[in-house]
Amino acid sequence: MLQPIKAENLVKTFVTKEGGRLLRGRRRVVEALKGVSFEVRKGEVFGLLGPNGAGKTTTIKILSTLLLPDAGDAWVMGYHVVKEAAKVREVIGVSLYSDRGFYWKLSGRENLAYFARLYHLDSKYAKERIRYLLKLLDLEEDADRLVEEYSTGMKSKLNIARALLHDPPVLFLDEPTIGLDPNSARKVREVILDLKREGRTVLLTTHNMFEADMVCDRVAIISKGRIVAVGTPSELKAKVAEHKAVEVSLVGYSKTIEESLRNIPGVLGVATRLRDPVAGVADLKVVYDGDLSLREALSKLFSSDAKVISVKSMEPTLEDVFVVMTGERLEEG
Amino acid sequence: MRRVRNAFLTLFAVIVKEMKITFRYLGSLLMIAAMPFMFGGMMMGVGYAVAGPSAFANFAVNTGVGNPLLYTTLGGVLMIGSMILVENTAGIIREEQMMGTFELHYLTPNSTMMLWLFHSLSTSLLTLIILAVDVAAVLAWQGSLLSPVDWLVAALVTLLGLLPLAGIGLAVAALTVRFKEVWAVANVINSFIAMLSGFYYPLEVFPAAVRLISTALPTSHAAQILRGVVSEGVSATGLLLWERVAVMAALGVAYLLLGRILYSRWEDEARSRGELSKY
Repeated sequence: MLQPIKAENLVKTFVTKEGGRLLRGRRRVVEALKGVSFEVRKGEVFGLLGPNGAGKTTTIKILSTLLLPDAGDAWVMGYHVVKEAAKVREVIGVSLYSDRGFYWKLSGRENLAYFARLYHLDSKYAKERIRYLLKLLDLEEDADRLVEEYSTGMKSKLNIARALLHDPPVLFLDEPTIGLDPNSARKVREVILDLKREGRTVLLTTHNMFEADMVCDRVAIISKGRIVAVGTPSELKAKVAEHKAVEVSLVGYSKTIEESLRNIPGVLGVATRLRDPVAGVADLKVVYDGDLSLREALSKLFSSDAKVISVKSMEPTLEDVFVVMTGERLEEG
Repeated sequence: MRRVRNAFLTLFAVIVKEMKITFRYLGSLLMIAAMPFMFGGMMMGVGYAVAGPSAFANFAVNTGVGNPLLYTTLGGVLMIGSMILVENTAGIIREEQMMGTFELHYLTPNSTMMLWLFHSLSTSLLTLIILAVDVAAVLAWQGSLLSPVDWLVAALVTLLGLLPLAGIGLAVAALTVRFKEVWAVANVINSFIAMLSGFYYPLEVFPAAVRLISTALPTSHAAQILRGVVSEGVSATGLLLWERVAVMAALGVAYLLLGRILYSRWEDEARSRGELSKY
């Protein structure tokens, strides 16, 4: 059976420049993807979950033909993303930014009308389609306001509307709720679930584990250019169900403390979110097996120079999977 | 047939969008409309300071143009139009990248090269509107008229003079977008176009070598033809009308081809290096 999206061993390396004192700085090679493979089934919402710089956007750009892979292959609706790029573009809708991608001096409706014409939609059909999408995304009342007056949430919704103009069966959404207030984010997630009900295949990237848990049928956890786990949110959480996790908030964090925790037998992963680097305020997530490990970990913490503020026991989440698999946290500071 | 319909739909989309945006920046639009008069006034003022009360008579003798205000207005419109066209086309990749719309165009079923040329065509049409308004204002003030044929020749020549510049603009865009120095290069090119096109003075003031270089600019031929229009049939020096039109058309093809080659190369490389959205 034809898989709407299939990626096989995608590799991508970038050469970036670092700021120098004069003129241009040094060149640095960044391995963005190191052999990414996955498949997305028809009608599925599939999430690429990982922190910034994990390779999520690079993957979505390759799949949407905006970027050429150095190696590997990928197909969308059976079309090869390099050899049949034009065909791929016909069957995909892409939302790359939550707050960019518009002409600010045009209204929301005018922006959509412009792109509808670029997709060669018949004028009458385009008008109806735009009206339908504006209603779907709760933008009817603001449709004739200039985009420069839109909030980030409204722009994000307008971006999704634009991606749906030509009624594509496959949708790529890059961090669709980033920077949105909780209400707007909830609305966007509801729309994604509506799109799934319509039978569309959605590939979204996110670093928000709750979002991945809530809207995705399956999730691929991506870290440093590699996919480290794929499965339904329940399957992934089951991998850490027998483990336990605590979150320790402390002042006076140091790398040494983190390393000492990692070396305790039974501690499976430690990940830090540094809230205030100057004061050393940090939240440490410790995933462990067995009460002895926890006891030893807490004992080390209390006898260290750091001041422990709170210790909270946690239910297993997708982030715990991420911590165990990569030793990092999903959401940075 | 379908391809033609799609191309027209795309062109219509671009023109509607560009016109709406331009007319919503009313201050900029008024400035563009006023600039030909400002430059024309400056040139006439300098001429008067140099030659005194006989300035206009001298001008008529040297150029064959008895109406310096109309001549400098037409020249000003052509100059401002060419500057806008080169700058807009050269900066279009960067502008669209900054707005986040560049990649979105790439995802539509259109050639991006064609899309940006349609943007240039739209700018040229806007320049024609300004030309019509400015020239009509001068003619109304002076109580004279240009014949419909003169209007048509002026409009077509302006369009033919401007469109090849889109090729230059696109070449600049492709060559400079990685180094983020688009405006610097575009302004240098604009300075050459302004100096060597003869918008305000006859190119005969230059040595032969410089005049030869100026023949590579479509705007210099356009300026010569416009000079012929306002000098009421007195032919400008050199080529006949049809010869100049043929040269302009050839230059148009050459510059657009150059723009296409360089732009396509940049786009392929950018797709490989991940620079389609880097600004």
